[in-house]
Amino acid sequence: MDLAILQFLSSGITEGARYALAALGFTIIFNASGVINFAQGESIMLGGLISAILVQAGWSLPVAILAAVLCATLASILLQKISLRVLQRSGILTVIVLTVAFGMVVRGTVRAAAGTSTMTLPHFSSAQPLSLMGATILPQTLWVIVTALLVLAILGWFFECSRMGRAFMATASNAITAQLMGINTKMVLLLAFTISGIVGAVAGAVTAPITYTSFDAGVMVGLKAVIGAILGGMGSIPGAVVGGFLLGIAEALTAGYVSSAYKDAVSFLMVVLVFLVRPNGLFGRPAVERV
Amino acid sequence: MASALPPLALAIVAIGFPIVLTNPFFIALANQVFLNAAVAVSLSVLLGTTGQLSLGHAAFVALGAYGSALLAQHGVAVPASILIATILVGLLGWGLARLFLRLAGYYLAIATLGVGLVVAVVLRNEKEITGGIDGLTVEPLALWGADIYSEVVWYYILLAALTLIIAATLTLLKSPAGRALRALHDAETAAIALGVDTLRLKVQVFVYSAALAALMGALYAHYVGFISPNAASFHRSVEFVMMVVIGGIGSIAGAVLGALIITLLPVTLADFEQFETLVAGSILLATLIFLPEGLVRPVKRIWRRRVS
Amino acid sequence: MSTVSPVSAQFSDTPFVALHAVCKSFGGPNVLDDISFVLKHRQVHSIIGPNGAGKTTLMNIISGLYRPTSGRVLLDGADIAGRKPSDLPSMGLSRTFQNLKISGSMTVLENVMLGRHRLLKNGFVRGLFGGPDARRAEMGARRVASDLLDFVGLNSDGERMPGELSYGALKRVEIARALASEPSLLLLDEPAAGLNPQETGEIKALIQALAGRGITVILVEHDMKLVMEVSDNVVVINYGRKIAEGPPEQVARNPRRHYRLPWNAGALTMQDVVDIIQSEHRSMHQISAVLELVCRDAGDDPDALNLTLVDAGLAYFAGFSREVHHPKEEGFVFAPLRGLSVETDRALDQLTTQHVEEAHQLEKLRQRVHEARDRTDRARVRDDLLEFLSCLGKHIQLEETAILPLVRSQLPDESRKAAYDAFLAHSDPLSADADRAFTELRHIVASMAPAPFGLGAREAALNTAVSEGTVLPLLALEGIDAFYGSRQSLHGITVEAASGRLVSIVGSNGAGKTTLLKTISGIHPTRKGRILFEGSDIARLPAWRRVALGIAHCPEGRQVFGTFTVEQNLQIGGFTQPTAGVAEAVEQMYALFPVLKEKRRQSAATLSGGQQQMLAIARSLMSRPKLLLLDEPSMGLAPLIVEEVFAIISRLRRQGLTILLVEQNAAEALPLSDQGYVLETGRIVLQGPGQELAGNEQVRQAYLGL
Repeated sequence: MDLAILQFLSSGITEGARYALAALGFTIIFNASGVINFAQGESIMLGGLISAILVQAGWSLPVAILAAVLCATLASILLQKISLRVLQRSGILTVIVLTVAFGMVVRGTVRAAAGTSTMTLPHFSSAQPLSLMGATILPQTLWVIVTALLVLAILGWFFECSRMGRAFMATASNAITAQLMGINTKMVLLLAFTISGIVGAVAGAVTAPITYTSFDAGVMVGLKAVIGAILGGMGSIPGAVVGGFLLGIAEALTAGYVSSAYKDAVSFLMVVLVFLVRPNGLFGRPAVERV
Repeated sequence: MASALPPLALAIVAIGFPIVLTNPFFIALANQVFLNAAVAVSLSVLLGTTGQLSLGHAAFVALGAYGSALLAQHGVAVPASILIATILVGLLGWGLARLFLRLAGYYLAIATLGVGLVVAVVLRNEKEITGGIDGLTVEPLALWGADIYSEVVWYYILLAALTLIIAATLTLLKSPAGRALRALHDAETAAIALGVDTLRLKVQVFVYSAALAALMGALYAHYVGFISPNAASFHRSVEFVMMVVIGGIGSIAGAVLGALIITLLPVTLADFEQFETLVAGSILLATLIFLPEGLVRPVKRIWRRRVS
Repeated sequence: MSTVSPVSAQFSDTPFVALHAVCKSFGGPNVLDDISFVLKHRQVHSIIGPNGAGKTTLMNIISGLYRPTSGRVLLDGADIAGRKPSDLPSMGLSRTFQNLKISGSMTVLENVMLGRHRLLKNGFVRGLFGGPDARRAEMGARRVASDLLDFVGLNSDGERMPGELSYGALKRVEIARALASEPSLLLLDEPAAGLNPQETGEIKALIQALAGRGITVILVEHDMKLVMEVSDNVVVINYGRKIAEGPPEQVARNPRRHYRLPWNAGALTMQDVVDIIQSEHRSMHQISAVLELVCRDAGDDPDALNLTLVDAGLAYFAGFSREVHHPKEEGFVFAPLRGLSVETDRALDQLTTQHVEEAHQLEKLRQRVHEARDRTDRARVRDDLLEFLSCLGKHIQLEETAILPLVRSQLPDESRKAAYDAFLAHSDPLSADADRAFTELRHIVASMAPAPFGLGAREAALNTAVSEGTVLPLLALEGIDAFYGSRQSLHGITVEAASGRLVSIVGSNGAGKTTLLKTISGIHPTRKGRILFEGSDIARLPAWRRVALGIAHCPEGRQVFGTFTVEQNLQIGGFTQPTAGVAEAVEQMYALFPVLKEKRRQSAATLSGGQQQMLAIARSLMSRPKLLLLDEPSMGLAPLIVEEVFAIISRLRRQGLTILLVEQNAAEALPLSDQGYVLETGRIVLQGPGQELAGNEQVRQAYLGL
C-alpha cells in the first residue's frame, strides 16, 4: 500500500475519533431529548483547553484532565437544566437556538478569562513518532485510538447491558411509556447530558496534544459532529460513530490528495451525496409518521 | 387611530435622521442597521412560518455580495449585476430547499450550515477570483451616470430597500399564500387537506429569504466598496439568527429591533472586545429563557391593553 | 386558479367514491385489509367500528394523506393514487380532523378563509405585490367565510382567536373551513367526539343541512345515535376489514358477538331468540374457522397438525352443543314449530337427526385424535375433521335459512317465559359466570390459533397465580380536574376502586377516559383534586414514583418498545423491582403467556397486535402492581383474542388484582365489572354495579349499541 495513504489514514482516524465521540455525545442528547445540540463542540474545547491551562499552571496531567472533564460535565449539566426549562415553555426550535447561545456564552466566558491564544497539551507519552509499516505515527495517535475504543466499549456495554442503559434506550424510544415503567426520565435526561459532557471532554483532552486548542476550537468540531451524526443517520448510535470516523478519514484524504484548504467542504458534500442515495443516513430508519 | 401613531412617528424619525444628525459615523451605523434588518426580516419570515432554521444566511449575503461584485468587475452594469446575483442565489436556495425540505426535522438547518462552511472555504481559497482572505474591492453603484459614494444617499437607498422589503413581506403575509404560510406551523395537515401545496410553499419562502439576503449582500458590497470572506462566516449567520430571536421569531418589527441591538452592540462594547461574545451570547440566552417570545410581542400586548 | 368543479351530481345514483380492494400496512400486519365499497352522490355515508378498527386510516387514505399499500380509490371515476394530497381539494374533496387542526395564531375568520385557498389566486409572487384586485378577492373571501360562520352558528365569533372558543365551537369552525373550499365530498372525522349532547345536536343539524347543499358526506363517528339519525348508508369495519354495509336500520341489527339476555322475561322478543341462536352459531363458526385453517395449513404435512388445538376445539363443540346450544334449539325452536308444514317437519327431522349424528361423529373424531400415533393417523384426522366441519357448516346454514326465519312469525307468544328461563339456564358459556371448562377450552384455541386470528402460540397456560391482593380501599379520586392547554378535559372526577375489584370506565371517544387513567398514573398533570392511593395523596408525585408504589398503567395502543426484544420489554417492565427478582418474574410471565416465551428473542415490533397486547399486559404486571390501569386492551384485535383479553382480565381479578379498565367495548366490559362509571365530556354522569349499568337503558343506547 501507498505509504502516504497510511499517513493520511492515521491522521484521519485521529480526527475521526474526535468527530465520532462528539457525534456520539450529540446523538445521546438527541435521543434522550430531541434537542439538536449545537454546543456539542464546546465540551471538547473545554476538555482540551482547561487541561492545557491547568498543566501550564503546574498541575499534573491526569489531575488537570480530570478537572477539565469535571468542568465540561458541569457545563453540560447546566445546559440540560436550562434547556429543560425552556423546552417546557417554548418548544424544540427555541431550545435549538438556545444551544447556539449557550455555546457562545461558554466560548465568551473562556475568551474573557483566558484570552485568545492557541494552547497545547504535552503528549501523554513520548512525542517521538513511531515507525509503523514505514509510516510515522505519533504515540498520541495511539492514545486517541485506544481511548476512543475504550469509551465506545464502555458505552456499548452501558446501553446494551446495564439497567440504566436500558432505561435510557426505553426513554429514547418512548419517554412517556418509559415513565410508566417507573423510569425517572428527568434523571435519564440528566444522565444523557452528563455522559455527553464527559465523552466530549475526554475526546478534547486526548486529542489536544495533536490538534492544539483555543477558545473557538469547539465551533468547527461541534458542527462536524452534527454532520457526522446526520451522515450516520440521525439518532443511530453506531451511525454516529461510523459517520464521525468516515468524516475524519474523508477530510484527511481530501487534505492529502486534493487540497488541505478544501477539507472543510468535504463534510457537506458527503451529506449531500448520502442524502441523494439514502435520505435517512447510513444507519437511519425511515420514520413512519401517522396523522 | 392609535395604532397608526407609532409607524407615523417612526417614519418621521427615519426620514429626518440624517438631516438632524449629520455625523457620518451615525449615518454609516444606521446604514448597517438597515442592511442587517432587511436580512433579519427575510430570516424571520422563514423561521416564523416554516419553523426552519437557516444557519447559513451569511453565506447567502456573501454570495450576493461577491456575485454582484464579480459581475461588475466583468463589465455588467451595477444595478443589473445586483439583480443577476440575487436571482442566482435564489436558484441555489431553490435547489437546496428541494433537496432538504422533503425531510421532516431540522435537516435544512444542517444543509444551510454546510453551505455556509463551503462558501466560506471557497471564498477564502480561490484567490484568483475572490481575492482570498484579503478580500475584494468593489465598484460603486452608478445611477444615472453618477457613482454613488455619499453616506446620506446610501442611507435613503437602504431605507427605501428595507421599507419595500417590509411592505412586500407584510403584504405577502396577508395574502392567500401568506395565510397558508402562517398556518404551516400548527395546522399544516389541515392546510394540505385544503389544497395548499405546503412543500412548494416552503421552498418558495426559502428562496424568497435567500434571495433577499443576497440582495442586501449585493447592496452592501457596492455601498462599502470592499468585501471579505468574513461576511460568510458561521458567526455572522448566528448573528442574524440572534437578531430574529431577540426581536421575536416571526415578528417583522422584532427583526428590525433585533438588528438594531445586535448591530449596535459591538459599537457600545468597543473598548471591551474580549467580552463581546460573552455579552452577545448572554443577551441571547437571557432572551430565550426570560422572553421566549422576543422583545416585541410582550410590548405590543401591553400597548394594546393600554389602548383598549 | 382551478375552477374544476367535479359536479356530475345530477346523476345522484352514480357511484361517487369507490374503493377497490384497498389494503394498508405500516410495515407490520395490514391495518386495512381488502376494503371495497361504493358510495353514492349526495348522501350521508357513515363508517363505523370500534377504536383501532382502521377507520381513521381509511379516512386518511380517502383524503390522500396516506397512499394505500394496494388497491384503488376512485373519486368521481378518477383514481386518486399518485395525486398529491393537496390536489384533492380541487377534485372536490374536503375534510375535518379527529383532533382539531386549527391554527391558533390566526383569527377564527382567517382560519375559515384558509379554506378558500384553492379558489383564490394564491401565488407567492402575487402575494408580495397586493393591489386592488387582491384586496377585492380578499373581501370576497371574507364575506364567504363569514357567511359560513353564520351557517355553522358562529356569526359573532369571526374576529376572536380560536383559543377563546369552546371545543364544540371549534369543531364547527373546522366544518366551516372545510365548506369554504366548496367541496362536493366532505369527510367528517369524529365530529361529535368530546362534545356534550347539546353540541352533538348542533353537529347533527349541521350534517343534515349539508345534504341540502348537495354535498356528499362521509362520516366517521362513534356516537351511534348520531350515525343512525343522519346516515343514508353505513359501512361497518372491524380489525381492518369491512364486516357489513347497508342502511342504518339494517346494520343496527348486525353482529354483536355475544348476545346477552334482557333483564326480564317480558322484554324477550322472538327476535332475541333468533339473535341468541345466531350469536351461538357465530361462536361455533369462529372455532370451526380456526380448525379449518389449521387443517389447511397442515395440508401436505400432517405432522404439523396441532392435535392439542384440534382436541380443544372438538371438546368445545361437543360440550357446547350438548349443554348449551342443542337444548335451546330442540326445546324452544324446533318443538313449537312442528306441524306447521310438511317441509318444515322434514327439515326439523333432518336437523334433529343431524344433531345426533354430529355428537356421534364428534365422539369418534376425538377418539381418533387421542389415538393418533403416526403420519397416516394424523392425515386421517385431518380429512375427517374437514368433512365434519363441512357437515357442520351445512347444518348451520340449513337452520338459519329454513328454520330461523319462521321463528319470529310463527312461534306462539306464550312460549316466551319458558324460553327465557331455559335460555337463562343454558347461558352463553362466555359470560362472566361461565362454566370454567368452556373458558379454558376457548383459551386454548385462542392461544394456539395462528395469528392474527389467535396468538399463534404452541402452548397455552392454565391456572397460574400472579399476586395476592390486600383488603384496603385501594384508590380514591376526589374532585379531579385536568386540562389540555386551556381546554378542561376532566371536571371534578370522583371515582373509587376497592381492593380486589374490577372497575370499568366507559364513555364515548373524547369523553376523557384515557386522560383519567393518565392522571392516575401521573403522565398527565391534575390541576385540582386528590388521588388517594392506599390512603395517601399521590397527585403531586411524578409518574415513576407511582409505579414503585404499585400502580401499573398499560397504555392505549400497547406502546411496546419496538426495538427491544420481548424479554427486554419484560425486563424494563420490572425496572422498579430489585434486580434479583426480575428473572423470576419474567419466568412467571412466560408461564402466564407462553407465546411470549416462544418469541422472547424477537423484537417486539415484529409481533402481531394480539401478541403485543399480551406483552403490554405482561410488562405491566412485571412491576408487581396492586392496581392495574388498562386502557382499551381490546382495541383493534380479532374477536377470538378480544375474548382472550377479557378472560385474562377476569383471571387477574380473581387472583386479587385491583383493575381499572377503560374500554370502548362496554358490552363486554361492564358485565364483568364489579363497579362501572360512565364518563361524558369529562364528567361522571352515571355509576353503579357493572351488571346494573349494563342493563341501564340509557347506557345500552349510548354505549352498547343496542
